[in-house]
Amino acid sequence: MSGRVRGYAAIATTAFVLLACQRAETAKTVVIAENGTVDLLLPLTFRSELETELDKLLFPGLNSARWVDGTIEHVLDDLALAERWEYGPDSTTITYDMRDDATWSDGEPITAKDVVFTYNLMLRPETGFPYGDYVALLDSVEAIEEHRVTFYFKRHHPLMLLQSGWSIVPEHVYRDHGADGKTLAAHPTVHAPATDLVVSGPFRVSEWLPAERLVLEPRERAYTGRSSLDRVVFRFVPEATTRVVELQNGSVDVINPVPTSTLTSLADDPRFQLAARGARFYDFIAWNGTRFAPFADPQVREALSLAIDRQAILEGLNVADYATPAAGPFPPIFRRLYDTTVQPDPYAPDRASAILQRLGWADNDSDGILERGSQTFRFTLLTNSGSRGLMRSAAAEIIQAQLTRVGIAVDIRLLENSTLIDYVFSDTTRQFQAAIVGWRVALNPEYVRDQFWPRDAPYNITAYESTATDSLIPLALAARTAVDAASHWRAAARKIARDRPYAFLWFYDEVVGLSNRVKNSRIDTYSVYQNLHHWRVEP
Amino acid sequence: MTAYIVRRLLQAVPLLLGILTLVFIFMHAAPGDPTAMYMQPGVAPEVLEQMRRNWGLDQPLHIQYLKWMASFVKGDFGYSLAQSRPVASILAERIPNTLILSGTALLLIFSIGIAIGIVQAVRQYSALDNILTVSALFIYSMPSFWLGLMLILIFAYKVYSVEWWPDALRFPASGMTSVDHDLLSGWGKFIDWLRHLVLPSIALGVSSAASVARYMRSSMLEVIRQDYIRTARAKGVPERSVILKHALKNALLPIITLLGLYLPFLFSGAVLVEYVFSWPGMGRTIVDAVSQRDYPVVMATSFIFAAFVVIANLIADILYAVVDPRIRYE
Repeated sequence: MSGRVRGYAAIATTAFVLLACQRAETAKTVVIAENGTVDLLLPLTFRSELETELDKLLFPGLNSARWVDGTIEHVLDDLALAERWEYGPDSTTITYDMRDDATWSDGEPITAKDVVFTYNLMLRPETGFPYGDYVALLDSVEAIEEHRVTFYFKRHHPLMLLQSGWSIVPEHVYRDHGADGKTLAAHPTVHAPATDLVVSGPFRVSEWLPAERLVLEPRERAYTGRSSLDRVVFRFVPEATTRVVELQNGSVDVINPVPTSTLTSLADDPRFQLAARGARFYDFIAWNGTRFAPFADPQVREALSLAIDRQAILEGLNVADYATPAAGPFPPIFRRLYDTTVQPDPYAPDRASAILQRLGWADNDSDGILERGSQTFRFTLLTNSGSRGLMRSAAAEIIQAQLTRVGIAVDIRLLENSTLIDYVFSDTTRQFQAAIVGWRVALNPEYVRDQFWPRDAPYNITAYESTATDSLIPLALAARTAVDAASHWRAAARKIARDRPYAFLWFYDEVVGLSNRVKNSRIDTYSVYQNLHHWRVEP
Repeated sequence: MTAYIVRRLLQAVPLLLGILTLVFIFMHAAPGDPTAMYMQPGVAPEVLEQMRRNWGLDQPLHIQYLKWMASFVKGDFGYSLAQSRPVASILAERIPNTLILSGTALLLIFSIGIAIGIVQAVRQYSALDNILTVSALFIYSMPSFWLGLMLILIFAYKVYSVEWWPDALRFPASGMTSVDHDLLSGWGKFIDWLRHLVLPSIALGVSSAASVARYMRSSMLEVIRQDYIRTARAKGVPERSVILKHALKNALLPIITLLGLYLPFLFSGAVLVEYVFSWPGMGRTIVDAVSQRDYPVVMATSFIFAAFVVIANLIADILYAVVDPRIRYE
């Protein structure tokens, strides 16, 4: 290299170093790396998990929900648009007195008219509000005074507070765009850059680069008071390893979620705290008796369940601290719904073999696989190969090995996520034999339980049929209070656990990783960012 | 030449239409549909059915195809099913990002590849040549996404705990700009942006650079054995000028055709690299769109990729004629 070239190289390097070191002041910024992304900032459309969380901060509702002692409770905290509520004389109405100091970010006051406008949009079929069941029992909403609004329900039920707490949108902004869902979703402010988005909560959008980041800034005159943070940056980082590296090198303060493979190493690192969101998901094996006849027999399903060592799988996958073996549809996090008498099946391969032998299954040709008549006990187990399903594909292999020990042959087929959903859930002909799939745990079980177990329920993927369960669910749904409903739900859960239409595998936590500089966060089963406006960061 | 370019462009039309038709058939033949991403308890199946109707997915496939093609020909790429906004606006955001990344990678491929190739040719059979050959083969064998993850682990993680490691060589692991980008000065912004480009463009380009080096080495070796090089040396032209002025120009001819070959590699590599580095480009868009079965976005991004490749090939052919006067296109 000549002296001249060396000189240029030195100058370039020095400039690069000097400029690279030029960092702006970011002391009160919190940077969050999210797996999810944001497509639309409009609460009346389909919401991803992250969008739901943002809705609560940008468009608070009349009340706020919280996870308190194993159940969702509705409260009037500093985010809620209402100051008090009262039930009507026959308990089918709720009247809210709203705060009179709350304003939209464009300075307009937030009034009962906005509430009526929002709920009318949700009730109108033209809007195409996707969570129609959510307002199915709501009759109408009426503005009594400027800051007083009444919800009329068709009957009293436990979800009245939940259903009157949806995010409220500004009437004056969307009034002329509410003809139908498509016109509403085409409103320019709900798309990037959304800096003109009219919001009511403690933050407003200051920058939104789709697929890259969304930046929130505190509103100076929000009724919640000004957040002590100067900026909250949500970065969309789909690759799990990249998210973890960015937390470890200090580029981000929070990652959501932490991939299961790195839970142990992050837990051992004193620079970080892990916040486990208890039992947010559950996995199960759906046994489809209509495509593999032996699964139609409850005794066979019991034998299969006894042949699976759930605890060993969780320990083998290094996630035992963040997952618990499952026994039925309700995880132990539910104070009212969890029945302690329903315990996971133990690992008892000998009992499993005995049951199968009693049913006539035997290895007559000594090939290690059971037969009965002309049928061999061999089936195909579907599961997905996506990022959240990493544990599933590994678990499928361990289950395959465990079932081989009792003479059952399993062929694993890994599918891409959308394909798996199509095979198992969308295609009503249910062309699968068995599948490891899972759901988010619904924190308001009343809201969705009738969609899994009744014979014609849309997500009854195993053709499960039980008159006892079918009679208990309507009783639970018709109950006036959550406490009344809980006893029926527990009875239904006991019956389902006994019938084993699924092999319930485990409930697992979603884990959020935080740098120690983040203080005052309240992350729980219900939400990650519910009190983001109260978070503090140390320099 | 103009007639040739026009003819090539016209030939590209049926090719692109054929590609689009195949993509359409493959996407719709794949199991799953766009409503799968909205499927959850609490959303009634009737709502999903209504969405399918709204999106026209209940119509026969050939009708969907003709409708899509009719609006596409008019320049309307449609509406993203997942993002509820025009596909054109998504493309407008993402195409420049991918071009920036691929362009930088291309620059890297040719500058590093050519430089190493020259050194290897000049020092043929030396220890340096052998080391570079082995290194080139080693790097060439690495998949870009794996190399990307390794670069992240080393230069965006491990070196942060090495105290003496210079700050300038600690790189960000993802994104196109830092979160404080807006607060930086003009130069600061530029450098910030360059720093974010370093790891993804290396991940995307370095394996192709290794192969360009191989091509360059053999091309250079062939050229430096020519009589006119011997003549130049005999005239007393310094060796540096012989190589860089006389030999390089001719040795570069076959390398230019590689430009057209590497662009498809770059775009397919970008699909994985953009995902690993959270680079908001076309590659990441197509990955998300395929997994969400966002048909209009998949079709549009496939079209753009295909068009880039066709144009790149055309440019390579034209360049070939420009640098080599012996080649004439009729």
